[in-house]
Parts: sequence; structure tokens; C-alpha cells
Amino acid sequence: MTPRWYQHWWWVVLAAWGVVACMAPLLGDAINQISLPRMFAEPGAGLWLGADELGRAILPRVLAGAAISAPLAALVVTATLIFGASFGAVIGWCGGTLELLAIRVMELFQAFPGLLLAIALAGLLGPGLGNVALALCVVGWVGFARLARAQTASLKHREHVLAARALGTPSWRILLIHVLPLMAGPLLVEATFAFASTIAAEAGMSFLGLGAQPPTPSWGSMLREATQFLLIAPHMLLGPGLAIISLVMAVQTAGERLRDYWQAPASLSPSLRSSQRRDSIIMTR
Amino acid sequence: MPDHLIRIIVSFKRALSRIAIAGATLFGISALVFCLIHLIPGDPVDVMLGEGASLADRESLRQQLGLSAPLSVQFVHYYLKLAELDLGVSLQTQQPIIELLASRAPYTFALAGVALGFALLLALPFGICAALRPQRWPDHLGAGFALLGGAFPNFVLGPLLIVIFAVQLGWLPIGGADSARSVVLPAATLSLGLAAILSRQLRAALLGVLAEPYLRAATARGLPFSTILRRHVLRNAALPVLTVFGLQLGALLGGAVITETVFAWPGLGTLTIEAIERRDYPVLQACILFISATYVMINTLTDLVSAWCDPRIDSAG
Repeated sequence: MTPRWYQHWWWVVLAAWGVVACMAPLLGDAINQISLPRMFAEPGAGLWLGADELGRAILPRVLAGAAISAPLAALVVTATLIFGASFGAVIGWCGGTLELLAIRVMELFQAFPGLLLAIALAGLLGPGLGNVALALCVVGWVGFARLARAQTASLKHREHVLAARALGTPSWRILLIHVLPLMAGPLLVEATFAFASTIAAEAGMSFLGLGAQPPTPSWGSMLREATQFLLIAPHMLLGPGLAIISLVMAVQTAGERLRDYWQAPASLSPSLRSSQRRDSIIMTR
Repeated sequence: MPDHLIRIIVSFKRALSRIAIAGATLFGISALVFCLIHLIPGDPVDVMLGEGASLADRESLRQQLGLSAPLSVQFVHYYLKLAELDLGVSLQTQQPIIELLASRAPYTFALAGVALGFALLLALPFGICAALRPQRWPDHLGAGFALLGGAFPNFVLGPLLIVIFAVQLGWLPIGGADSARSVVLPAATLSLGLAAILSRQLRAALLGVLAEPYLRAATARGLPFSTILRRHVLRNAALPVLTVFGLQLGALLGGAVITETVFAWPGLGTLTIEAIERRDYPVLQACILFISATYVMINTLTDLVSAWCDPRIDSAG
């Protein structure tokens, strides 16, 4: 079953947000242009998403928000991926008491409801996007580390790894050349889902006032402003709300497609792959 | 020794070791929470009181929090007080923190409970219909619901529901916790994400059970479909769903912080945010500790229940 045309929506959305995030700096000062006469103006011609409490047009602010959320999420995911995967791979490779100890530490981190720990950390460190990123990093690495440890622990008994060891290849080289490429797929899938949840978490923390501070047009802080004027200007929800939902949905779908790609056994014909797809998505959730 | 007695002893030992692990996790959690206050950049006393505080005030706060003692002494002291359930007093109101928690926790538990109920009400029909008609429109509808539900953040859904049901239609209160009706909107907000995951999990579990030979046997015996569904399918599919349920509860408790803020629901989530805003760090620590400990205990309970329902599951693992 080849995907229908509308099943490709996700990468159109992703590409659109990518372009927007790259072009956003071109908007310049337009995002902070205060115009009190059009305060709380409703959406209409020339002012597509309306205006906010200071009469700033919402559309350019939503577009500029992409240049804050996406790079921050990318930074957090890259940092946690690198740290988590190396940590997990090393302890999985070493094994023994060190591994058991590290597993306990990782379980400890996972014993906290993730968002709660990030909120507490960001609250203690003080408001600001940098602290939000730091808090999300502290919470985020564990997922990658667990995955990399489990993968390494099973891959290190493969014959090609044993052969490399017999030839006297140093451990770091084996990990880098013989183990890492085999677990790159699952790690990439995990990173895609982590990207989606990081975008949502950053927006949530900015919504609580812990992240971006005014007048930075982060989606979360725009929604925070919108809820303050919910009774007089409900349209302020529309832009940032749709932005978060569309981006998160597209990234999650991308993650699911990537997972299908790596999970379906190569022996299956493409048609069988796609019919098995949904079940495999669900089983691993 | 009779066979069933051995089995009981074995499962009892496994349960005990699971509880021991939970105890160790609780100890670790409280250690991490202890470290939290030392993470504050600079002097925590300065941060809490502000720059303009007098030297005497600072010194008394330092004494009150026990921050002048060496770290190891503070650590032991912290656990001794924790054992007596003494969490200190709020810096703002001087109220004992344990009382604050006791007054707020019922609201959060009520909200989470109603949200769980809503999530089940949503997930059951979507999951069952999707599993009975895989790859057909009920399934696609379920997949769409799960995708949208998983991507809809609490802080968008909550205000949206307020605009529709409280402002436009005027059916339900905007926020607060004045009447029983107040819980509907926050619980609905909190339940959507959980319902999305549960419905897909239920679908997968059902599809797994539907392929089992004992179902064909039941059909061959001429049992009506509703009986098969109730007695053979749903019961066996309940277990994997239960496991996810326990795991997702953490997301529910974390998400409650945002949802409670949106609706001004006087639970632990708003208490956490208030503590952050007022720099009332002892209260913040207590909130994190309490919510995380609840999460660990619920997860342990879920594991024990799953192991009890299905002895093949190794509860120690």
C-alpha cells in the first residue's frame, strides 16, 4: 500500500517551519512594532492572526517564534543525544558493577515525572531560555542513555565485534565504528520524539513564565499573554496554538515513519511493511 | 510443600523485593531533592530574601534552614526530619508545609482521578472500535484522534475549552474549585493526552488478543460476540494497558502543574508554581518530593497488581 498524497503532509509542514525558522531574522523589528490603535484587533485582511494587547501583529511574532523554539529544541536534543548515547554506550560496554550503578542512577532520574523535575530546576535556576534548556538537558539525557546502554549490551556479543576485539582494536574504535552505526537508527527515532516533546516542554515552561521573557516572541509566552486576555481577545490563542500543534504533530509523525523504516525487517516486501507498520508503532509505545 | 504454597511464597518474595527497590528509589529521590536547594546559583538565602535584607534576617533564615552547618550534617538532619514527616515551614506564611500539602493534595488527586475517568471514557470506544475494524475508517479516526490528542498541549486546550464552554456557552465555571462542576474543564484538559496514548495501547493489546487461538475456540463454541468481547478479549487486553496507565500517571502529575495553573485549581501544581514565584524553596522541595514519591508508589502498585494478575510477569525485574 503506497502512501496516499495526503499522507505526506508531515514533511510539507516540517519543511515550511524549517524555512520559516531560517527566514525569521529577516522580520527584524516588525515583530515588536507597538501600535496601540489596533490593540486586540481581530483577525482580518492585512492582519491575518489579529493583534495582541500592545497592538503588535501576531503573525510575524508566531513566525519569529519558530526561530526560538526549533533551535532551542535542536540544541537540547543534540546535547542530550551526544551525552546520553556516549554515557549509555560506555557503561553498556564496560558492564559489571559500574553498569549496575549507572542503571540505578538512570532509574532515579526516571522516577521523577519528567516535566516536573524540569519545572523545579528551571524555577530554582531562575527564569530564562538558557535555564530552561539546561533543565531540559538534565531531564532529557536519560532516555538516550538507557537506549544506548541496552543496544550496546546486546551488540557487544555480536560476532563482528568479537572479531574486532580479537584483532586488538581499541574499545573506543569498536564503539565508534562497529557499534554506533548499528544503533544509530533507534537513537535517531528517539531523538525525533525527543524533539517533539522538547518543543512542547519549552512552550509549557515559557507558558508558566519560566522560559522566554517579554518581549521575546516564544510560543509559550505568547500563549501566557493570550490567557491573560482570554475574555476580551480569544483570537490571541489561535496563532501560537496552531504553530505548536502543527509542528509537534509533524515531528511525531516523522518519528513514527522513521521507526517504521528501521523496525520493519528487511526481508518483508514493501507492501507487507506498511500493513505491519501501525501495529509496530503501537506495540513499542 | 504443596505447589500453590510455593507459588505464593515466590510471589511474596518478589513483591517484597519490588517494594525494597521502591524504598531505595524513594531514598534516592529525597537525596536529589535535598541537592536541589544547593543548585541555586549564589547564596540561596540572598535569592530568597532579596538583596536588601538585613544581616540579622539573613542569619535567622540561614539558621532556620540549617544552611550554616556542614553539608553532611545538613544531609543527616534532613533525613531525620523527613522520618518525622517534618518538612519545615513555609517562608512566606510560616505555615507548616505538611499542612499545606495536606490541604492541596486532595484537589490534585481529585483532578487526576476525574481525568483518568475521562481518559478511559474516551480511550475505550476509540480503542475498541479501532481494533475491531483495523485499517478501516474507525481505525483511521482513532489514529487521527491519537495524533491530535498527543500533540495538543494542555496550555492550548485548557484556554480553548474555557473560551468555548465557559465564555461562549456559559455552561461551566472558568476556574477555581467552588463547585463540583469546576473539575470538568481541567479534568477534560488533562485527560486528552492520556486518552490518546491509552486508546492506541488498548488497540494494540486488543489486536494481540484477537489473534489468539482461544478466541477462535470461543467462537466455535458458539458464544455470543458480546460475551467473548467482555470475558475473553477485554480482560486479557487489560494488563498491558494497565502498565502504560501507571507509567503515564507521571505525565499526568507533571501536566497537572500546567493545567492547574490555567484553571487556578488549588492543587499541588499551583502550589509548586506559587512556591517558585515567591522563592519559597522549602515548599518547592516538599512539592517535588511529594509528587515524585506519589508517582513512585503508584508505579510500584501498578507493577504489583500486574504481577498479581499475570504470574508470568517477574515483578522484581
